[in-house]
Amino acid sequence: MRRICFATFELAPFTGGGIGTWLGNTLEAYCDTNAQIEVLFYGRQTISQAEFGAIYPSVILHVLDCGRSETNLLSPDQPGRPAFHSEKMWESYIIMRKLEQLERDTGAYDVVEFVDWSGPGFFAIQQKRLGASFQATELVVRLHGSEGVLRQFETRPWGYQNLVQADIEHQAIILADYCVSHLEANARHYQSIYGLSEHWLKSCQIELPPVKTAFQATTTVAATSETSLCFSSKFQGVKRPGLFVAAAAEFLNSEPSFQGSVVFAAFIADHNEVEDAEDKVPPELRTRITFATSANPDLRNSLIRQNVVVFPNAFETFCFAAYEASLMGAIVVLNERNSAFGPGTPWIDGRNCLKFDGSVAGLTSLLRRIFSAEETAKPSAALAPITYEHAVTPYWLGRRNALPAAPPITRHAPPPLSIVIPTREHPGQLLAQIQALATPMSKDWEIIVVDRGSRDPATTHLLDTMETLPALDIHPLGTLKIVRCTQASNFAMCANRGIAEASCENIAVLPNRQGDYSEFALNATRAIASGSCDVVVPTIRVTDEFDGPAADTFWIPYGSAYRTGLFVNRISPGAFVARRRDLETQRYDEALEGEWTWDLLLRLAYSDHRIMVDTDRGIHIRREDFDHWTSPPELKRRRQVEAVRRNAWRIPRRLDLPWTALGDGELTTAEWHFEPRDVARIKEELEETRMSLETLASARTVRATLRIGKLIKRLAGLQA
Amino acid sequence: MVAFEGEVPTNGTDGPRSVSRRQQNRLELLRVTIAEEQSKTGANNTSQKHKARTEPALHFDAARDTQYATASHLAFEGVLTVFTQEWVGVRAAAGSIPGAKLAISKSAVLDPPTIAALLNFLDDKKIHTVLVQGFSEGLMRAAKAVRIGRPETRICAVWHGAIAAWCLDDERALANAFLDLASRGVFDAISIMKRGAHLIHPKAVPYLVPNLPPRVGIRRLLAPGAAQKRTALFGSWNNTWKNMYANLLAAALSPRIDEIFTFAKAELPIREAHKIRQTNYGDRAQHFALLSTVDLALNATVVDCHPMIELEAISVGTPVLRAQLDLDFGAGHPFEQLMTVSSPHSIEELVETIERIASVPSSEISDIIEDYRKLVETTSFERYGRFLQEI
Repeated sequence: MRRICFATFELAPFTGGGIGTWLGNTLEAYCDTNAQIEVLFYGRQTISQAEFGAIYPSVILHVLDCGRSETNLLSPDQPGRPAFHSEKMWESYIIMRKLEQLERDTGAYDVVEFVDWSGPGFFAIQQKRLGASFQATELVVRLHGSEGVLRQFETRPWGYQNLVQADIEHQAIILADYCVSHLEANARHYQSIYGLSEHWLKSCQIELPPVKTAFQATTTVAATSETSLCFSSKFQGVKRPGLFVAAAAEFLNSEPSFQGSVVFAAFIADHNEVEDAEDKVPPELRTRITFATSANPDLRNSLIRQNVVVFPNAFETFCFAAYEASLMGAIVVLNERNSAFGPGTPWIDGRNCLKFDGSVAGLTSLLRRIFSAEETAKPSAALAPITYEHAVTPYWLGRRNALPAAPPITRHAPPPLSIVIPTREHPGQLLAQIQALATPMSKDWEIIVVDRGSRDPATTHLLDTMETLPALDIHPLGTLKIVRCTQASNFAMCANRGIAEASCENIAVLPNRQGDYSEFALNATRAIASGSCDVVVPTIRVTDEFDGPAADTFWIPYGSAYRTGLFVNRISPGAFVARRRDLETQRYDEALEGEWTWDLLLRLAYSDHRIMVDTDRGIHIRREDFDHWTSPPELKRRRQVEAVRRNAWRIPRRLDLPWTALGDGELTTAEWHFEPRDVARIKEELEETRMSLETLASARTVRATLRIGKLIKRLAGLQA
Repeated sequence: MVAFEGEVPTNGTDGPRSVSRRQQNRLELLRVTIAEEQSKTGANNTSQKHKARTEPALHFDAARDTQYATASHLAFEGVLTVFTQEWVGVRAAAGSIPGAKLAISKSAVLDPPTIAALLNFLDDKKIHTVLVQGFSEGLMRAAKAVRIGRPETRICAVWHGAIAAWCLDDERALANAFLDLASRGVFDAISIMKRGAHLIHPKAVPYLVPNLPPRVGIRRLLAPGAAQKRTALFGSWNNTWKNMYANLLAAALSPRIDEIFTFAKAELPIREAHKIRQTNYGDRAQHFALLSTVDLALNATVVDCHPMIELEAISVGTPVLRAQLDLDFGAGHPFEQLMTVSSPHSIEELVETIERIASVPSSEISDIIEDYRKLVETTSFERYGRFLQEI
């Protein structure tokens, strides 16, 4: 028996929403098939096991409370909630840890399916591609409507949180074993928006989901002058409630013979949209345009089945409400510009729906025709409920268009690797780093130390010693090269020199003083050599001067941070492993004054290279060094931002840069999250100065001196 | 003790950015003063970042005190090693000991919450014995607090200074306080790091308790003497008893040494002075890196107990030019015979000893060093095992 787990934050009847409706229908329709179905629920609502068991007796429920620290899922050295600046990143991370626990405790799933919105599958997919977990499991993303896609049809501004969210859901879609779409038109839409390959489209599973209705009509209702107009979607920008109210108002004013009413029977996803729709209702029509937002399901169903239901929605991945309305006998009016209602879908204009051109005028005109006095002019006369059948065998029982699975990541001997270590001074860390790398090292590994003009005798002595080492048969290293640059070279020049000296297919760039990389380098090289990814970056643990690792000072990279990466470096502060040919094509930009790694990896991301984040093998960076790599003075950083964006813009790429790259996004993100660093630093210095003054002011010697001073003054006064 | 223990600051500053030794000392002093005042006024709770950069007055199991510790040993089970933050030499020695650690600021004032934290730590870690390494006012207060708060806990203390240093008023005052605590029953047993010093006090054990070599984890890139260019390191302070100039002169005059590293500035009135290069101590990792790549450590001192530079050197397989330490073990070992001078003042003898060390084949000298390291480690574990059981 196959095992499938659906990770979800919505589930009917416990929550509203289209994803919940789909999953409820799915559990009901396929519960008797030869599969053990499980649900990992991570929504905010409380679902009791007893209630769930009564409704879905053959389904196993796992509940994950993302709001709690979930310490039982994390070991002490793993990042907890404070390490994640983005709530959605944290959700994805803790879901991954929960699935790992389930895999350990109950065995591997055959399939784990994630929703696309907010990227809950991001970290689990990374873990699989890095060979850590889920090696026997297909990790699948279903295309319900991602933030990145939905916002193409809305007028919301970008903020830091939704930039990150769009980034991680984008990567989950690209990196999943395959995606599932209800409609081929929808899959093609995603392909277009995300610039996805034909390979991606070919692997995408297309299957019609189960649709459940309280009532199934045999005929479509006839429109009369008393029939009402109904909007049954959600109050959400992409659903276009404003278009509906505008067209309805036009129609009511221009057709005095129409006696029916206009009803909003919709869930509220965005309260602003409700207010906007209410504001648009002309005063004279307030009694005829009503809002039944809290209508119970029975009332909503009766409203829908007897009336004209309009779906002006600009975008849908399926739209269960439209199918439900048609099956219940409603006259369904659809926006023909919406790909979910277009060619190749079950919707045929004049047969099971009526379509308009997506404009207010077009909808008004269509409504006039629907309610025309002349029966022969009514386009709804020939309508019938939609003929619909969902997939009999779901993909997890029999996958169509199955492509060859990715080869498992081998645990055999480490693949050849060239390790480039740009360095300047700090011989202790250099020696420790080289010796740590020697542990997993094979004779096929080489270390290339690129020194940028070190002058300290201890450093030059170490470099001299390493340079004069004989054939290394007395040492377990493969080979060791020393490249000496002058102080005039910058980091990029040194790194490029090291890459030019490399002879292996894979290269690790591991700047000195960024901790022990040995485990990270070994695992990353295996993952890249297996073809499951192109670049691997480590999770960073920032350590303090005295304390060693501090639990709350992680720096979690965002992988291929397509959007966030246009504003700040959230890709890597220096260390990564990649293929030599990629680093020869996209070289470090030697003209930059900083942020070299950010620039290079962003260009790799935009040229279709998959960047993975290793959350199991973090490396330690001392705070002062971390600042050196990631926090130049604000003015200098802004100069680099301009150049980094320009470089990303210029390379051949399939993905359009988000419009935020024009400038508004940086303002938004800076206000939201990234305080200008100079200001932060000045604040910190002021705080330290204040504390020092406070301390000195309360010191016994200072207090005594002040007292003596006062005494002397008093004595002097007495003498005078 | 002050003058002997403050060998090299290990405050984590780095080569090219570091300031002079004197400036470092002043900065360290300022930082410690501020930390102490903050601990008194409670002012160090407002800034997380500031707190992270200032060592707390009581620092349990700090990374710097545990990362070079030897593997756990039965002798140290249930033992808390306590030492002074500022006495970097003793701190380094304590860092080699396995088990729980507590670094206390030298003038730490122990208020009730701090004492409670200390006693809770003892309970949580199931500590039955406190091992005091070195001495300071802070340690004295902590030892008294433990004796009162947990009277059943054994407290053993090691005095690391040479008696000759009692010429210094501060050192003598601390020694008196140390012995006074032993007399008043705060300490159950004491060890004084000089042979025969047990006659000073009835609670002093009649054997030495030697320091442990640290577990560094660095493999030498080349065996000592195998490089074409032979190098030496003088890694201590420049003061009377460390005898820096005699060591440097001998190494410079030896044709077997091509380059000499020193942390202190040195001016020699001889032609061979060009061999000397001043470098930065950096941090302990950097120190170990340098120590593991030189062919000889120079430590023929006038007054010493059981110097950490020697133990650090043997941990990374580096031979040591040394003076007679008057230890009560290891006499006749090839390490001692080969590397010890009878007079640290004789430049001629120092040069001859360097020649003698350099003439031994690399593999043979590595074996000698490793054998001696094992002897020191075994002896140290055995002596500590006895000492911590003394009634």
